[in-house]
Order: sequence, then C-alpha cells, then structure tokens
Amino acid sequence: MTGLLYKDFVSIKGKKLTITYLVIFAVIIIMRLLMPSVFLLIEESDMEIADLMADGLYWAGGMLLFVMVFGTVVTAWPTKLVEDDKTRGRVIDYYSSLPVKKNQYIASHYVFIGIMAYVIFSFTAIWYVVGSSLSNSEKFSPLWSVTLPTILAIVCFGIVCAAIDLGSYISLGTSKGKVVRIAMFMILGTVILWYILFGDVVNVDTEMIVNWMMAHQFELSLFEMVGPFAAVGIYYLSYRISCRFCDKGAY
Amino acid sequence: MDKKVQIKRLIIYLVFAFGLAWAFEFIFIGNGFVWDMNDPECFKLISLVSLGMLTPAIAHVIARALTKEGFRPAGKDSMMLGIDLTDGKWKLFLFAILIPVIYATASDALQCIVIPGSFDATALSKAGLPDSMALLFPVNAIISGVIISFAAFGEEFGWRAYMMPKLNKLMGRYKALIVGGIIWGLWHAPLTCVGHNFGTDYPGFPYVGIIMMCIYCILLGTILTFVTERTGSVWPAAFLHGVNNAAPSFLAGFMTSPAGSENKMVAAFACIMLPLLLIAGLCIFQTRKGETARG
Repeated sequence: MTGLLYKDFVSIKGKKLTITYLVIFAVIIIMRLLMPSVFLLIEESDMEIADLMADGLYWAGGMLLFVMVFGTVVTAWPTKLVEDDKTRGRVIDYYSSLPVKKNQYIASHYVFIGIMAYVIFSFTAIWYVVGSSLSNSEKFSPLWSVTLPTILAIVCFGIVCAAIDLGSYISLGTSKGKVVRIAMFMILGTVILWYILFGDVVNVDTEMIVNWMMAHQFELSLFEMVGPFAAVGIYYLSYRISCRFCDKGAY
Repeated sequence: MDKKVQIKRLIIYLVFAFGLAWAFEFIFIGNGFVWDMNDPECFKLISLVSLGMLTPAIAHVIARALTKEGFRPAGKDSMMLGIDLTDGKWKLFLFAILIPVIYATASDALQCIVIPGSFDATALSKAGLPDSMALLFPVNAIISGVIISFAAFGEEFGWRAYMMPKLNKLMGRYKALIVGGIIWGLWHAPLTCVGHNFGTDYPGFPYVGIIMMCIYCILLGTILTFVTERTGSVWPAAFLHGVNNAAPSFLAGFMTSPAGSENKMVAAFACIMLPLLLIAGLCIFQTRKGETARG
C-alpha cells in the first residue's frame, strides 16, 4: 500500500502548485502569530480598524487558499489518478503486473485522496485556531464561530464529489466517468446559473447569512456530527462499488 | 554501539520535544497566560497554546533528519504511519475510539460518589437542552476527536511512534512504560503550573499536580502504547488521545463544579485513575498473553 501511495504521489500532476499554496498558507499563519495586526499600524493609527483589517486579510486569504487547494485536490486529483493509467485496458494491465491485489490498487486511490483531505483540513484547522485565538476585532467573532462548521461542510461535500468521481472513473472507465463528471458539474452549474438569473445576487446580505447560522447553531452542530459520518460512509460505499464492478468484470 | 545510537537519538528527540514545547508555552506564560476557563481572554488562547501538542511530531522529524534514521512510513523501525485493518486489527481501531467513552463515563460516575455536589440532574434542562442531549456528548467527542485529531497526532507521533520504541529497546517494556509516562508527564509541567487539569488552588501546588499528571500519563501511556504496538500504527493512539481530550463521558452534561471546589480538582482527576488502571492492567495482561502464546 505504501508503494502504491508513493506512486500516486509521484504521478499526480499539480502537486508543486498545491505544495506552494500550502507553504503560503503556513507563511500567513506564522505572520499572524508573529505580527498580530501591529504591522498595519504603520498606515493605520486606529487600533480597532487595524485589528479589523488584520482579521479580514487573514480570514479572506486563508479561506481563499483553502478553497483553491482543497478544490484542486478533490475535483482534479481523483480523475487524474485514474486517467494516469490512460485506458481501461491499460489499467488492468497495470495493476495485474504489480504484486498487489486489485482491491489494494483501488483502495490506494481512495486512501491517497483521504490523506490529502485530512492534511488540508488539519492545516485549515491550525489556521482557524490561530486566527480565532488572536482575533481582536469583535465584529469578526460571529464569523469565526461559523467558520469551522463551514469548512467541515465544504470538506464533506468535497469528499462526496471525490467519491462520485473515483467510483465512476474506476468502475465505469475513463470515458463514461467523464460523462458522469460532466453531468455532475452541469447539475451544479445549473443550480448556480439558476441562482444568478433568479436569485438576488447583487443584494447578498452576508449579515443575514451569519445571523441565520447563529440562529441555527443546533442544526449546524447536528450536521457537523452527522455530516462527516455520512460523507465517509458514501466514500466507503463508493470504494466497495468500485471493487465489486471490477470483480464482476466491468472492465 | 546500537545502544549508544539509540540513546543519542532519544536525547536529540527529547531536547527538541521539550525545548520547542516549553519555549512556545513560556511565551504565553511570560505574557500572563493562565489556564483559566472562566477568564475569556485566557480561554480564547487555550486552543492556541494547545498547538504546542504538535512539537513532539516536529521533534520526531528533526531527530530522524539529524541522526539520518530515514523516513520509512511503515514497517520495522518506521514512523508507524501505515494503517492495516487486516487480521482483526480494525477491532483495535474501534477499541481506541470507544474506550475513552467507557473510562470517562466510569470516572464521572466515580466522581459523583466521591465528591458530593458534582452531579446535577437538572444541568442540561437549566441550559435549555433536553436530557437526551447527554447521548450526543460522546458521539460529538468521538467525531471531533477523530476529525480534529491532528493535535493528538502531533503528540502521539512523537511519544508513541518515536520515543517508546527507543525506550523499549533500551530498558524493556515495563520500565519503558513507567519512564515514558514520567517524561510525558513532565513535558506537561509548565501548563500544570498555570492550572492545566487541576487549577492552581490545591494543597501542594504545583508539585502534586505534576506528580498526578505523571501517574496519569503512565496509565494512559500504557493503553496508547498497547494499541500502537498491536496495530503497528500511530493512528489508533492519535484517535484515542483525540477522543480522550474531547471529554467523551455520557455524564459530561450533568457534571458541575461545586462551589469552592478548586482544590477538589485533584480528587476529581484522581477518579479517572481507577478505570485507567483497570484498562492499563488489561492491556498489560493481553500483551503478556500474546508474548506467552508466541513463546
């Protein structure tokens, strides 16, 4: 398994960019630890505004990096891992030539994406701990209180997307997997388009969203508990389906 | 020769594990930080100070790099990062995740008997929550303990995956468990001195707290070492530690701090020792049984 994971790590494209993002992430965290809003006072003499700016920059920068890194890993990497073996026939040739079982080969892809999701989530959790602990701006405290549940929700959603991608690519093959993938993005795109066309995009009330999240903390907490269970369950189910279709000669 | 190398590696690891953690903690302590849940300013910083838990992992990596030990992820003399669920090892993962719920609940039950007033049946309804919420506390602790296990992993990757195998080789299993527990307990000393786990108002402060912490670390360390050795992986220990830190008791929602109970913190903490002692004893028994079976 270790060898397969290493193979996955070596063969994946775009890892340098991901590592660069993670390094930037680490630099932002260290900067926040070393310079809690003081550096902004050079331009801004009002401490309250300086704190607000420091919190805002840190929060927005961290969230942007998290979405970029996690988005890349869960949307692009699962398909790249399988596509790396080019065609369905060559996949069989590939793993049959290795001293590993078919299920181990399939499991390695799932474990690889799982490890990446865990690493990125842990990184983001450290970012969150540093940010929420050093936050001096009272205006930001409601935002921090809903940040971790939101990140967890994004991670759960990403894991489900990866489960669909990996499941369809491995069990149906690259070409049919692409169809499933396009269908998935089209559904998502339709929802976004519908919102852009018919939703009130211009007047998005962020305060209302934060208030709604504050008012529904119990539901969000429940989701926080059930969400990861459900996401991991779907991920495991996808793995079992992939193994079964391979076993039944889907290739 | 091998013994000298092991000692050298262990010393390098300990210097970095203690040095980095204590330096990090002393920055906060020097700026007036105390482990006080009732002080909003200090409470806000507790999770930040807890990031010191990552330093044993950093020390592990540094020690391997400096001593050219290599970074084998799994197998013999490795970093124990592999996950193997075959041969019934998945049961140990399940054991690691669930056992803190059992001993934490037993500890709270014992505390209710030993310290009158520490149980309030109406505590949840007073907070406007249904009593059935008590069932969610352990579930929440298990999930958050496993998901946000990176901090616990930080410690276990150092203590269980690096220090314990070295100590085992140097002095044998049982001495290693005691010495390892004491080292781990002493590593917590700066935080114990500012109120971590026991507060600051108890007889013999802070020495009694440090000694209690060492005993606790010996017992918990025995269980953590057991799951690490049996699975050959650091992950079950990280999950166990994570769930343990998330207070996974069924009675957690009903436990209160009786008035003037600051000096009862030590007694409350002592209540966890008995269930831990029983489980640690069972782990040693199982290990011995396994050794006897293998001849």
